[in-house]
Amino acid sequence: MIAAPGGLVGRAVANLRRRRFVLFCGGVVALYTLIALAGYVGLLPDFQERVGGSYEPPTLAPATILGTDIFGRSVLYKVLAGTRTAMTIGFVVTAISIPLGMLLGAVAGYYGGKVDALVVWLYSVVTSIPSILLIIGISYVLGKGLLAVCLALGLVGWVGLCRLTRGEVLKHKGREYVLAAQLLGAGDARVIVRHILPNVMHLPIVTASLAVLDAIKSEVILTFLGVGIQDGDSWGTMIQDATGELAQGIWWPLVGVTVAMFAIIYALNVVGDALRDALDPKLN
Amino acid sequence: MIRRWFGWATAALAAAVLLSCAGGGEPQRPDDGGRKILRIARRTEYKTLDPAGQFDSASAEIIGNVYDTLLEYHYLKRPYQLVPNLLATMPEKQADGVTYLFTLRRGVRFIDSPAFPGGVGRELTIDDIIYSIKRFADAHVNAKSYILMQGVIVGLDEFREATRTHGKGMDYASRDVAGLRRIDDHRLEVRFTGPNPLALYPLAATPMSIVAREAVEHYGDDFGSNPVGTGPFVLVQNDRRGTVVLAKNRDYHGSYPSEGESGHREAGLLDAGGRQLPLVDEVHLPLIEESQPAMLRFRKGALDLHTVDRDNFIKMVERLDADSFRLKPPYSEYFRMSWEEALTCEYIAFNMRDPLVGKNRALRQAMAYALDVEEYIKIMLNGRGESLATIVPHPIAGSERDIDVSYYRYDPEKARAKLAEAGYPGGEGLPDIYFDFRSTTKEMRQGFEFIRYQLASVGIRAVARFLTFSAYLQRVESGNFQVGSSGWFADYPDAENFYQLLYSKNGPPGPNMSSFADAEYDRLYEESRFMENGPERFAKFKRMAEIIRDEVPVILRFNQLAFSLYQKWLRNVVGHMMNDAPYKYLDLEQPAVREEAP
Repeated sequence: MIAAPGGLVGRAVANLRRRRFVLFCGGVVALYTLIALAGYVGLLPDFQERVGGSYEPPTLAPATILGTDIFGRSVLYKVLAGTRTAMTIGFVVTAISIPLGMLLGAVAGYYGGKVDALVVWLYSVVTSIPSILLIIGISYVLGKGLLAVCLALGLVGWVGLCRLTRGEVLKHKGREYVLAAQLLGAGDARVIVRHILPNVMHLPIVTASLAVLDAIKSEVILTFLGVGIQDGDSWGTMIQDATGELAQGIWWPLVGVTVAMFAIIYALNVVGDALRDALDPKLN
Repeated sequence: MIRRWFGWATAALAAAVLLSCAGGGEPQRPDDGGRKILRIARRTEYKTLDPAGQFDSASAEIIGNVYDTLLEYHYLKRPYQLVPNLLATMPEKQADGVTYLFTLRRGVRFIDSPAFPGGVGRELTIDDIIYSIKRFADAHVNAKSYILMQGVIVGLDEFREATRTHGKGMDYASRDVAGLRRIDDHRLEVRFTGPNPLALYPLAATPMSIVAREAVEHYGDDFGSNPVGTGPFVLVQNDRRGTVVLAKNRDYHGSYPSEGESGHREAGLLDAGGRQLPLVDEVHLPLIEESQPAMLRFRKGALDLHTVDRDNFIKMVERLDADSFRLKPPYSEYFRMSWEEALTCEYIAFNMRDPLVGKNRALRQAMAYALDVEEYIKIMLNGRGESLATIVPHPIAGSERDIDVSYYRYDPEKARAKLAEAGYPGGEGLPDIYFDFRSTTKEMRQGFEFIRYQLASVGIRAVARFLTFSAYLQRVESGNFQVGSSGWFADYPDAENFYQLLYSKNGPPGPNMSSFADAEYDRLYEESRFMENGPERFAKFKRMAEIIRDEVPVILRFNQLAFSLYQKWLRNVVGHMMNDAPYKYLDLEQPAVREEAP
């Protein structure tokens, strides 16, 4: 089988374009990404600003359409600021874990022997520790805040992809096109990067869409537990605040943040599934 | 799959919202067959029931009810005052001013226990007092609370050193304490190291409870789970993770006070005056660690008394004006509420060694003007607090109720002017200021969000570090912080306990975390430390309060109000900040005995 990335992607795009709901979900992901970018260039309203009294229920005015929080801040603005944090974490964690998983998986699968044993030992150790505890442990060492959460999640999140990639590379390295490349004098790096990896590219693409989702969820859980983001611009802190608010009949902050979370997680799930359907050679 | 998950999640959310809105019905009093059984939840497991081995409120709750101390705090009178408990009278000061005569109450008996010959409790004598004080000082028994008595009684510190060098199991009779002189079976002379009106306070603390030598020797290492005391109750069921049951000690010596404050008689708080304590037959103390399940049990009537946390407070209580509150309907029909000013002071401490905040008084003053404490109390505490003008909580003699001193009031304009005076007009050029917090709870985080917004509105940028309590202590005790959010709970109800927080010789790792050093303040503190309360002492406090205000080593914030809810059938409830578990004073309405069905 000759690597044909153009063909694979072309087929996938054609496949996805036929499914309107997937396109809609892709649009949701794009919208969240745009909100995050808007936050970075200062286009989002300041969530610290007081827009009303303490715990005002939702009204039709844009700032208070999701009501206000304990300090009279707009729940909508907080959700938007939380979107920036969530998407940042999603993308940064993916940017750490995907290359790491690919690299280690490819190297282990291709070289085998002691290198493979070392990588297998490493991911076995990482997976043997419950991931949430490991992340909490790393967060305590690195301190708290956005960077620490990203690093902690990134350093734990590479294992799944590493395993898959290792398995695929093991399968591919005995194939004729690889042997041919080796006989033609290509170095190991060239064989891996130019010949094998393009044939396993569906793995990181599918994994990445799910990794973003996992990272967003994990950040919310970590922050809820008090080891994640330490500021008001996170969905996790909003949910943490809501635990007591709900008992007082104040439902709007929780509804606002869970709807926002649900939309992006659902959209990423749909997009991830669709990508797998479109890209996985076994399903085509 | 995802759609199904969403369906369940929506249903669960709706159920949670509905449940939270549901009021619940009228509480039903459990049928105890005519006996009076008081039910109160414990929040945490106790550590040990050995008085000298503990210094935590969960252990003290039980120890305070099965053991007795020489002195105790009056249940009704405020400010808090010491009254005799195992002593017949208050210790009498002798001519030299440092020796006190202790006279023991006669006829007090230890409860029956296999530790005594024939299993029958014997009468308490002065030897038990001497034994208990020595045991309190034993370095192998008491690792936590000896600080209460350190340097107080002549020769006691040396005795402690002797126990340390001797090793475990020293025979206390083999070594005397110079400051303890036995006169006869019921009298003892105690010599203090100097004239010190604070010396008597530790005698009311639970670690100083009186124990019997026979019981300590009989139970050995198990003494911590087999209390043998003279207290109002006897431990009959010791289920540490379940329900602890205390039964009435029918030979108890104490009686309900006949005097209180104005209004107490009208409120029925003196109806039991002179009656033998305790007033209930049994106390059941189930362990319920989470606040919401405990509140649900309280609302069903399965608990008689319960503290109110913030979330339930908002739901159940409304504030009428500055210092009056009432329960909202329908809770007002079912329950009663009491509140009391806690003996706490919450403040923001500056590290005076820090090159930025420590060396710039105008900057500290700008921050004091920028923080709106009243608004904080209103929003974050729902009115459950009072702002402070001195470092001393309101109920303690020498607080702002006794001295006239002004303090910073929220004024953003003045804050901006002070910031300009500090060299940072509009906050220009001012680096971020780091705040350390002593827990990672959402209340701490929200508290910081409030502070940050107010500081930001005048141009000061604050950054928070939320630490575990031990990490926080490590930082402040090593002086490695810039600004810390701190608080102090009274060890004893005297203003000295709060003014010592800024005495230069108490610097880190001591309680003066600010490392504040001011010669005039130190002098006034030393002069006022052992003075009796009165105009002369209060004049010194006033000057110290002014120094704290002008130099701003700390920004004073508030002292909290503690709230309890109780059932309509519970009597004699008074908030008491020096006694968390005054169960011997509580009474239940005589339950109606249900008629047997024919």
